[in-house]
Amino acid sequence: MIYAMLVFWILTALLIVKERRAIRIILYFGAFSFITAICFFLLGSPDVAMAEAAISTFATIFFVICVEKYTNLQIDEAEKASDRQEDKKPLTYHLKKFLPPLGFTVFLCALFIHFLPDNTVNTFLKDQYVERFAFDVGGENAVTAIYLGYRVYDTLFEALILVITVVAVSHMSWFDKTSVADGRRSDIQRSGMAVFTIRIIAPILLLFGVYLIMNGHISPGGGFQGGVAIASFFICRYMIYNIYDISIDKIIRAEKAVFVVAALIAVAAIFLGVWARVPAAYLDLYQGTYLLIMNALIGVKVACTFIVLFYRFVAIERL
Amino acid sequence: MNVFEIIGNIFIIAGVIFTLFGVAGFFRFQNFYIRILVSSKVDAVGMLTLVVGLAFRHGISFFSGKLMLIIVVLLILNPLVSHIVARSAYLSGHEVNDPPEQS
Repeated sequence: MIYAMLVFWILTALLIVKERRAIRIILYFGAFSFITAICFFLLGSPDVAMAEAAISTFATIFFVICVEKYTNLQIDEAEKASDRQEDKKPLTYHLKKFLPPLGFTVFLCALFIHFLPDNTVNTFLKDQYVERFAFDVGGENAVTAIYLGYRVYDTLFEALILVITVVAVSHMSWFDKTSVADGRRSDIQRSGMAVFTIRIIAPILLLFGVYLIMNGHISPGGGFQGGVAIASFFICRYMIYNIYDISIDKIIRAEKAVFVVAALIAVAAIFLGVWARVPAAYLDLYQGTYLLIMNALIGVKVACTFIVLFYRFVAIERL
Repeated sequence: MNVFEIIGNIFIIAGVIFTLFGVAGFFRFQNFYIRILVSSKVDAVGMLTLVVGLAFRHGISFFSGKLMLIIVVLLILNPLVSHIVARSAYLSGHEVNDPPEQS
């Protein structure tokens, strides 16, 4: 498995070297990062794999924005013609262009295989997490303990990815407006059956989202999942009343503020070591409050992100 | 194996058969609307029967209660999804009487 992934890895690397169009290089780069993440995972370090995946998402969006800013993403005819000329050149030309990177990657691969660790994966950290999470972070859900306790930095970064997504969507849009006139009705023909059913299901969705957030630390669920459920309630609301009465600007501002507050609380709780100074009698209460507040903040943030994305695509991007 | 588990197994097998019919029909027919009609069997009937079978296998418990809740949501939402897909296809001008494509 790991060897197959390495072969794919080299192939994608060669594609990156060979390709000349910026947009395709970025796409191949995304594939390359993805395979790298799988390699990390197979070698027994899922945390590095997750960081790699997050960084590749960030980098792809960032590169696309930069390239779009300075060049035209569309392939023009001249480039196509030059490509055709490239294809007509003799084989030795291609070989000359292709062999040095191929040799270099084969050399790297040989080095890698030479230093490949044997198959015994060190599970020390996993055992530590599973045994000690209830004492260290609190709560009964080990996943929540990891993503709000041990790995809260990664969680903040992941939440930042959502902010970047919203910024990227606003930036790459064809339209300059950022907000919708309040109270404008859309001209979509609605189905009465759909409206009736969504009227029944929408309150259940909101309740479900709040339940997921509130019970995030003692049962399956958490901020991200609950946030999506709450966002779907607002999407249902749009479908029922058929009106754009939510200001996108305000939601974006609220999202950023909530993100800053969440980051500050996490930094204060984890990195300044408030944890260690709480007396033992109040530790349970303190940990529960921390998990609840962080889950609620992340839930609100995720909900804001998805509401903004939905309203942008439905209200502004419609041609 | 008690009675509940036997009934549950029968339900699960029936659900798999419904799903099989749905998938077979999806590849058998060429018209878009007939395909929606057939594939909604997978969503609605197949899934519903599978979940009922699971609930029977677990007997009376909290887990079965949650499954019943899922069944209610499925009953409300699944026909709606098929309805909306077919309706939007009709509104955007998809012909009802398509000539069958040669595959």
